[in-house]
Amino acid sequence: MSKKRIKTLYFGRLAEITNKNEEMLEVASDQTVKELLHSISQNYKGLEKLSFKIALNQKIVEQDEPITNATEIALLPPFSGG
Amino acid sequence: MSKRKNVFIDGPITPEFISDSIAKHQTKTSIGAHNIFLGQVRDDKIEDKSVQAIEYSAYKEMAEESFHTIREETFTKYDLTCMHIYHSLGKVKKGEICLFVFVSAPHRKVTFEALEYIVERIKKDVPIYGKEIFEDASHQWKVNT
Repeated sequence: MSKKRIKTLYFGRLAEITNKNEEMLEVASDQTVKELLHSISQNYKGLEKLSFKIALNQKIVEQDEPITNATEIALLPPFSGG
Repeated sequence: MSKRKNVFIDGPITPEFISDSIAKHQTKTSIGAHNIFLGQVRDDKIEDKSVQAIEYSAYKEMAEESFHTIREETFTKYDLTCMHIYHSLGKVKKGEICLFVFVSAPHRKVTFEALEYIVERIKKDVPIYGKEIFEDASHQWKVNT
């Protein structure tokens, strides 16, 4: 199984729960967003209860998207600009 | 693709910045109508606490891309002469300006429509976060309605 490093970014309330804005994670490259989120949420208590969108390389994607070509994943709570 | 515009401003958007921006358009004499939206930090009361400031953060690279897309799509949809969008990052106190959208066209009608369209798109599509800070230094994350 091939591994890769992916830059993982946390924003808003999520950054408070993880207590960081970003980290590098070593993950299996042949998995989906959903599978990766499952493993991330095991590291951070309370994360699974929040609603958020996912961006891979700065594009919003669905949870069944493979992470294979992504170098960056961002966990984005509801936007509140303006 | 046109060039990326700088949108983010550190701290509040000052009335001087806004008036300078208006002054710069006085040489563009094909314009007959300007329309401006200003977002101001509201002293919201939540239970017995009140908002003193909002601290803005953003997924900057993606937000800049989103602003660019909004800009391009607005120009395609509406016949505008020019468009400027500025949004604060960092702390903005109650009563201060955090969002400045400025559209100009030969005639007024399109400026009303475009302005509303842009503001709604910003609220919905741009990864910006507002942390509402209360007088006792506690906070909550702003939610757009």
